[in-house]
Amino acid sequence: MYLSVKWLKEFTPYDGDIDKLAHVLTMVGLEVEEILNPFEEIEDIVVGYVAECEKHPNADKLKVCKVDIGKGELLPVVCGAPNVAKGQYVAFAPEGSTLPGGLKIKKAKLRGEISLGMICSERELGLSDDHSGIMVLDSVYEPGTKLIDALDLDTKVFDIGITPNRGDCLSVLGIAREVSAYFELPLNLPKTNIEKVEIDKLAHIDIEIQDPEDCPLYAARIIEGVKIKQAPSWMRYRLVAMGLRPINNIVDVTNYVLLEFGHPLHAFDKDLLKGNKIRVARPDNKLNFKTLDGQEREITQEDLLIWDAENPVALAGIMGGYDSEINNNTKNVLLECALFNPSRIRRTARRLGISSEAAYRFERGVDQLGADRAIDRAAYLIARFSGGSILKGIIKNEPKKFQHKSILFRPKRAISLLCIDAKTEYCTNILRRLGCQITSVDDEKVKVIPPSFRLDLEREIDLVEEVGRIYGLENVPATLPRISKSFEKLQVSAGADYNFLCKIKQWARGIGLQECITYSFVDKDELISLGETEDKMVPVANPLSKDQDTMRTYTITGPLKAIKTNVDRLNRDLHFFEVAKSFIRDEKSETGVLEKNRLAIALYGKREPNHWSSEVKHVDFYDIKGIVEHLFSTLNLRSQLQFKKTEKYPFLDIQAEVYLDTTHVGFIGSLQNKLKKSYHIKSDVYVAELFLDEIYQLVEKRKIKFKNWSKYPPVYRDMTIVCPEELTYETIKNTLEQSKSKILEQVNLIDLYTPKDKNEKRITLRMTYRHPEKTLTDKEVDKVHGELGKYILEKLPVRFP
Amino acid sequence: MARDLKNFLDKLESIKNSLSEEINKITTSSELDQIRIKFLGRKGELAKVMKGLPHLPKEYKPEAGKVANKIKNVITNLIEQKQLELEEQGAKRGQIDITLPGREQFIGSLHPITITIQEICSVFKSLGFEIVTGPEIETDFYNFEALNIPKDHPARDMQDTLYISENILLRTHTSPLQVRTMLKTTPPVAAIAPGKVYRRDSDLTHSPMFHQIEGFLVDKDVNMGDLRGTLTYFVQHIFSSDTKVRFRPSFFPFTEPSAEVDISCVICNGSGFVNGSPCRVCKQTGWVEILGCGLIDPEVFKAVSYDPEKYSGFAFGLGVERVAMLKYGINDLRIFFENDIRFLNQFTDFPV
Ligand SMILES: [Zn+2]
Repeated sequence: MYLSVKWLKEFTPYDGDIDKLAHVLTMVGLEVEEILNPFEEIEDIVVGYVAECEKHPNADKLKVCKVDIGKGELLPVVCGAPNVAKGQYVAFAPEGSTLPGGLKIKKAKLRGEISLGMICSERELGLSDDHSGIMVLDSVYEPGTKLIDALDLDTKVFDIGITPNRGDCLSVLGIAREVSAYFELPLNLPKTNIEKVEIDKLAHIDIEIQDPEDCPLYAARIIEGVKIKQAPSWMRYRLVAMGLRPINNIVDVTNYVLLEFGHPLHAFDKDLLKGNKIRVARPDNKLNFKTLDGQEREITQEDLLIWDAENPVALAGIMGGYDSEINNNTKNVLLECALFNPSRIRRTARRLGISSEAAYRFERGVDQLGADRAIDRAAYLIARFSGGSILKGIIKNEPKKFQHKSILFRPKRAISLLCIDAKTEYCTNILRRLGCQITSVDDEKVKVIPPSFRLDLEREIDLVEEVGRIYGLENVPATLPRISKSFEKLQVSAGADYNFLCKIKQWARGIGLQECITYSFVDKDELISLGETEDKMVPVANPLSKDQDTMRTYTITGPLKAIKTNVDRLNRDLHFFEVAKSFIRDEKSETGVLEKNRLAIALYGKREPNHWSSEVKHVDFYDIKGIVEHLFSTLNLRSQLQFKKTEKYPFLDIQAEVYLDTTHVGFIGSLQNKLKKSYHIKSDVYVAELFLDEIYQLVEKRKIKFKNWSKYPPVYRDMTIVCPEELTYETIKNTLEQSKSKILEQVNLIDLYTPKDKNEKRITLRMTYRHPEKTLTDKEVDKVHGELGKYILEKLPVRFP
Repeated sequence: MARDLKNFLDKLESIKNSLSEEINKITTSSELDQIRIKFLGRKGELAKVMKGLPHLPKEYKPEAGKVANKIKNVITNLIEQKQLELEEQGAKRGQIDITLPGREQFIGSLHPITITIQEICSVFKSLGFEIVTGPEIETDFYNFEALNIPKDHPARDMQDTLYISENILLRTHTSPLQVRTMLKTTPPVAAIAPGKVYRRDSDLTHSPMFHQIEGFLVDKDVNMGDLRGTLTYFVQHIFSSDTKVRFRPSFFPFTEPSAEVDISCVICNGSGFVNGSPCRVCKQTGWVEILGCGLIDPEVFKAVSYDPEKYSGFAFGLGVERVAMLKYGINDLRIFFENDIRFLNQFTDFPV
């Protein structure tokens, strides 16, 4: 919210430093985010006196003026405005100055006449839309005075961040109250003296309210015989400073009083209202209603409307109606000052996408007891500016009177919760300064009645906060708590815990993978291209953009995205991992979504950094497989690890599922050619995605038990066999290992050769033989090795070369 | 017959001599390997002579065997000596250029967000906080209602929300973990909850996904001083020991009193200026906002059936990206999620 310091000072006589004021407001919870000068762009504009004004010798519509700006000599200026005349005080942009919007004033020659500056219109200065002629000042000033000083503009404006609980601070009055409470200064409200200007004709209109919960108060005043014109310049310029656009002397007053007191008001053209009646009610059926911004709005039975005897005339608390708006022919005004239900206003405003100053304040709560003050002030100003007469009295229907709350407050509790060094009286005194009424109950408690404008003060803790705020939270000392522990292990959600995920990340980092972090949502089309089915997907209902419209079902999209980004930037040799959740629709779970922690890895480019000593190859399937094997070896689960051939993943070319015994824990493979393009990838990419929650469970169950080893030396024997191409290594290895040979310790593949023209392969295996209790002789080993050879010939379609 | 013996011994002697002659001529270890094979190999010179041994008369055999062994030892020794000599020479001649690049491995790295989270978590762990995690897709109850943010309340404007359906949403903060944790246990409880959060907001300073760490402590007599102390400890461990902490009153529906926490600007050390020019990070104020906190609102205790008369507690929520940006001097939020390796390569060291 914008606050003019000058306006504030009209309410409370703060005469200290502006920066200190900003600091104090910030430290009581009204954060001054910025100090602005709304008129910064017209700093260079000065008051000029038109000493002479002659017709331009060569142009009918132009005049040549001599302008005094206090520099001793008169400046020649060519001016095209119809209203320029000798003897005027005008806004003058001298040579070298810049106008709002960036126009730089230069020395010019117009139809042969020198011009050293420019006489400005209000529009050129950003003060209004008026461009009918130049701006003529209505008083006498010293020529050369800065315009912003001459007009006494609001040049110091705070942009204050008001938190949603402090609706009372959305006005000059509200902030002034805080300042006066903090500095213990008096608070001066503008005087209205409305009794003196009311005419002796009683205001009357019927006001009907359907539901007191929707509208606890509806008050109105009638001003007759108004003349619509501009509001006085001081008010218009002040509205401009506050970021509002001046409209006319009626609407501007309602806006001005809204900024001043925080109470939204609305002015109707009374002659456009049918019947002498106002009704506050929700419609029985849906209907269309045109708001004053010219838009047709669909109104439901949940929206509150203001009606005349026949039709809706305003969207209550949000925006007036198009057909009852103040216009240039308005003669009589009905001024509304009401109170509406915050939630209802908020729902309607949000649904219709309207953000208005009025709705903003009604949503946050408005001071019911301040209504009379606001309507009187507005009526008074309207009458003053428009020549209208205020009819006698406020017409009011108030079905629900304001109820003051009463709160029991224990100063000692405030002192201990805030950890401050203060006395009981100090606490109650702060509350008193803030407008609370205090009566003592007993030694421990007092009864506190908060002022009607502080709707946020409802409970004792709210009062504790007030004490802390004014005492200054920055004065709270720093102490370290003693943290007590309980025996129970704190586990909030199932699945891999934080430590396990950290461990996985550390492992991945250690083997040379780089962690990437990507958005959890992707483009639905990306998932479709991976072959994902829609029944598994979790769409975001209100995504920011199409490429973020669905939660990812595979975590691998992250590393692939990272590869794409880097390939686009010509970075090479990419080895990414990401630990993140996948999101799969699951009606049975609490949120309808199953969230699973996953580790995704993608490899692209060289297997290791280039080296001069030998050529470095590109990654292949056995790199990704080796990484997965490395992980499970690290986790002591290698003996359970199995890879199973699969065709489940439409986006993978070579592919295998990863199992730990019977638990499916992931998949590995190579990205299909047709997908590579969409990730801007040229050579092969190998990927793995591992299910960390499942792996975590197995790691939790796993027990590491020490096993002693044989003290006797191993003996090695190699065996080369020729077998059909389709016979897998795993089959051969398993067959050998199942031979029940007691001294066969290990089988390792040491060479694999596939001749080009034959569909068979030649495999060389190295057997490690070892006896637990003695040194094996060559003879013993030869015998077992020979038997193993025979065994494999029997069991498998293999031969020796 | 003695001639046979002499003949045998002469042959051995000549092998020895020709070896000594040849071995002096060679300069490389591969030549030496050839010599080794030539003289000591299975079909080498010595083996050839030894084949004659069985044919000698019985009485000469011991003598012949003894000499043959001796000669073999001499030859072996000569070869070994030459080997050492060659090796020494080789080293001296500098066959290895130690300045050539070694065989490297790719350097792995953790994302700076992960590093920051882990560092922050270890600071709080050292104070006795436990780490908890929870779902990223939440119900309206945990994300809002239980945290005293009713429907149709302006406080909902503070967080623009991404929804899955009317009551299911992407969590906008890690605060639901306060509720989830408190529902699972009874005080005392001290926990921190790191994780991803989501907002419907994307520009220079906002990302639709970012990371938060929620922390909270509930016990008897927990007060604002404890909160300030805990956060001071955290800030001074993560930044530097002279970093100052400032509390500013603010509003969060689930804490009261609520405060924003500023720290003295780590870029300009709170002076507002860097090398004479205005500090862009703190906009010359000397302070930067780093987190929000407060005493847990009694309404939250009500939602989890804790007695607010018996217990009090504090809670705070901090933005990880914010901390990482200040810590590493990163000025663009979006760079975190691009994963350019030139960015990631700058964070190769890792927390323990
Ligand atoms: Zn700074």
